[in-house]
Amino acid sequence: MGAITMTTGCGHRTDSRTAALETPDFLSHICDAPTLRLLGAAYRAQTPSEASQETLIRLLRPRVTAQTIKADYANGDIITLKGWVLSRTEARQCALFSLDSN
Amino acid sequence: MHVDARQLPENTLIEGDICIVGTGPAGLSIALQWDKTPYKVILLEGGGLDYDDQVQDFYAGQSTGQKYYPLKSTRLHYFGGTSNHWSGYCSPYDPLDFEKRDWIPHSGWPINRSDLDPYYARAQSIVDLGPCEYDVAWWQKKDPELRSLLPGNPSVWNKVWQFSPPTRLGKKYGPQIMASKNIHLYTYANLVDITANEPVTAIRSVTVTNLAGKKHTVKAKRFVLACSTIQNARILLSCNTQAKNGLGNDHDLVGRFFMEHLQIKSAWLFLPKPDPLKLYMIDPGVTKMRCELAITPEMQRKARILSGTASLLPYGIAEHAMASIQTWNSDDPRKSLSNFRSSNAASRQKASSTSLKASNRFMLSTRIEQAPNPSSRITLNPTEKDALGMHRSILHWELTPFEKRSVRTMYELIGQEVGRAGVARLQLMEHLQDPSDYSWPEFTSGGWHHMGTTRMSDDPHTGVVDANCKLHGVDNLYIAGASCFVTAAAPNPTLTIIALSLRLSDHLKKQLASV
Ligand SMILES: Cc1cc2nc3c(=O)[nH]c(=O)nc-3n(C[C@H](O)[C@H](O)[C@H](O)COP(=O)(O)OP(=O)(O)OC[C@H]3O[C@@H](n4cnc5c(N)ncnc54)[C@H](O)[C@@H]3O)c2cc1C
Repeated sequence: MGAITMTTGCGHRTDSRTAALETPDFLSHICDAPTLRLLGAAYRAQTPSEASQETLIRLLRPRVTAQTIKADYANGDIITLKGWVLSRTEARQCALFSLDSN
Repeated sequence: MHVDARQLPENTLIEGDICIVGTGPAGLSIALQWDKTPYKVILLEGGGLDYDDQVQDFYAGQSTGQKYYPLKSTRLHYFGGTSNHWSGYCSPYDPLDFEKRDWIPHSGWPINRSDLDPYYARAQSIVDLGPCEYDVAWWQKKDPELRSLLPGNPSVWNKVWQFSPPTRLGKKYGPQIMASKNIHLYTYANLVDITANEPVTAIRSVTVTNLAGKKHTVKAKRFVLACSTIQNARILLSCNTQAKNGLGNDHDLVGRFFMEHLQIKSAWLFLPKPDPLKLYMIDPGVTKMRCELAITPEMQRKARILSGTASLLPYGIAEHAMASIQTWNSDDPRKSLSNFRSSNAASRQKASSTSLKASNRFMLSTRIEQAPNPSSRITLNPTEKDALGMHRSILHWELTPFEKRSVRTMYELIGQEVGRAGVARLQLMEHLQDPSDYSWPEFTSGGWHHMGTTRMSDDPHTGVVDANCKLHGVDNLYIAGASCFVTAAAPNPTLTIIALSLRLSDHLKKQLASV
């Protein structure tokens, strides 16, 4: 599985700031785009109250850093999606990515 | 001195100071302590000096419950015992393993880790291990490439394993035993009965026999049963003429609490860049030590889980690897070993050399204790007997949801910690993904580690032997081996078996000196 490149062309609706929000940095070095989308869809199914783009953007703003994600892990703000033990923030990033790249 | 008991005249009376039954790691490590002492040691071995399929057949038995290996092939019935097949993985149990853990019913040994410390140190050389150093920092000083995945982590630590060549104790110590003037080894001397005084407070003699039809009587001041976990229970249960429920079984404990280590592939670890993770790798026959990831005692307490560890295998090998329950499938232990070894070798061969040097994906495999469970047990088969007339064993291996929850929690914790450290991500395998699923997949294996059927306790109502491994209620019968274990901990058991046996040997020396 190679690192993904986040494209913003071809009918893509995001601006660059949203693109940054929807890029789970560490995870995207591990999972390919279809896997990220799968995880994102799983998060939306598991957390319907956060399934919309607006909500996800609001929850992820103003920005996501490696520290935000590490802090989630440290605080136990973790969610298991398809067996992946993920920080809530990176799960939300995947969800946003899965909406944006549908 | 060595005598083949088939060649002795019928009804020979053999007498000594101490009689040790069984020549595996438990029995031999005791016997060696008595060489060149003034005591006459009778060492009884049911098999010969080499494999003999007719003798091996005495181990055949039935299993029910959780799928298990064919019983005939999980232990070896000849001089050196199962050390003729073991793989040599060694690590001591941790202090917490001996404690009463209020979240684990029936836990708590009547001895502490510190009681075994001096014996662990002595056990090392018996199986040709390195220095008695189990602190990862000691090894890292010698080799800075042994980098920790999670240095200084409060939940996950590096538990060190050392590897025996593996020592085949019969081969290594056979010449010394044969040459010894005071150790008298009798092969083809299968213990089939134990005779006590009335009312069964001391053992007078044991009866041994063989397929040549010769029966002999052995008398000694002290007897040690070191026939391994299933056979120790089988023998005690079979001796039911004088003691109706079997020797030492007044409280219906003999054979109960059979424990194995659950061995099961469990999760994937993904790194952003390939890494050799040398600290965790093993090159069979070459590596002297490696670590497995373990959950700290504090976190085990907090999460109320069993003790387990996770070993790492590069994806290149793991994708071809088969579970041992799938390859160790023959009744004949030689065939099972050969299937098992060739399957392991094939998965290594199939892996590309680059994937072995460094990988960004590793399989995490669990070895975990099972909770002591009275329903997991050895009983006698009422209808089937072996060629010597002993009832065959039935193993009912039973696991509970506690084990499944512990395995899942262990990986959730490791997943959390690698995420917190920003070094990796972890994915649970499918069988662990649904928290309400307590079933076990078909590749769930055991570690060939039999423990617990004559558990240790100060109280005869809760244990078969006392803290000195003496059968409760019987003055001169001792049990050596993992059948005395109260809990199974995460490590392979043989180092602890040897340490406990050396401790028993010292105790017996004091006893005999005071007679
Ligand atoms: C494939 C395999 C791999 C293993 N790898 C490891 C490992 O890496 N690390 C580890 O710690 N452990 C390992 N083990 C387990 C290890 O082999 C055992 O823990 C160890 O051998 C137990 O020692 P023991 O002396 O109690 O029993 P055994 O070694 O089984 O010896 C019992 C002895 O008693 C004799 N006996 C039995 N019944 C009678 C009788 N009625 N009369 C007279 N004699 C009798 C037998 O012939 C034998 O000599 C492995 C086991 C297997 C099968």
